[in-house]
Amino acid sequence: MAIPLHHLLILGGLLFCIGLVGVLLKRNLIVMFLCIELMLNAANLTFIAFARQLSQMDGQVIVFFVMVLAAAEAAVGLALVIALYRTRQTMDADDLNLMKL
Amino acid sequence: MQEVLFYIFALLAIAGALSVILQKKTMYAAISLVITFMAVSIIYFLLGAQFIGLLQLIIYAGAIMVLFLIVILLLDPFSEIFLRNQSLAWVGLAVLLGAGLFGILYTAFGQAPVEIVAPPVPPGELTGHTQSLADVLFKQYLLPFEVISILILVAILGAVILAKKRIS
Repeated sequence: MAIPLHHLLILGGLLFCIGLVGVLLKRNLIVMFLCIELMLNAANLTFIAFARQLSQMDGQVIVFFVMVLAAAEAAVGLALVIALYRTRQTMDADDLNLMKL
Repeated sequence: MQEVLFYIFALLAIAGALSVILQKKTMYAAISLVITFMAVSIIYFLLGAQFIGLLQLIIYAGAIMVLFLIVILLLDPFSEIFLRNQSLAWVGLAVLLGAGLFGILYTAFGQAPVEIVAPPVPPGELTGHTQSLADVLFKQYLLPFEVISILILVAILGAVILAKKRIS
């Protein structure tokens, strides 16, 4: 058990920042979703790192909840993408600038 | 040995994450994300969170990514991903923002009290096994567990209603 906490946190931060840059740069809805999943994963990694460091299970329980949340988010988000594609024939976030479908 | 494995899989995770935002096609970006998820799952195993590592493989790399791949195949599998704005200034600004956030995080982590004295785990007691996780989940966190099961039920119903074909 000699992996330093510092390096785990840096790995989590790096993955989070890569996901953030992806969300800012891309305009394809599905790729933006992929980057959000990446950011959720980075947060999970820091939770697990602190759970290990503090020898407590609470962090792992939170990660469990975040995974359920990610599954729900992916289901609803992809349903939205399908509904949008069916009416607009586009997956470009910049084309979706009206409040109505 | 453990450290060596950690650094190998950390590099693999970062490479996969970079590949997600550098790939030109949606499909390849999704496959790159699967690589990242698997590397992170192995890091969970190295940190002694076996059950969470398995969940990561089954739910993230399995279920969620298959859902993504099916939707990509359903819509347009070979579409090119365009940048939001072709101007180099926007790309530079986004990368600068990401790098700035990482700089802030890096300095914050440097000042964090890393040497938190963890109570030593008694030998023979394996934290991260299914049993110890279930002990906490179904006693201390029972109410959040029930609430989040309602959340996922609502999400499933919402997804079905949203994606349903409208009959006009």
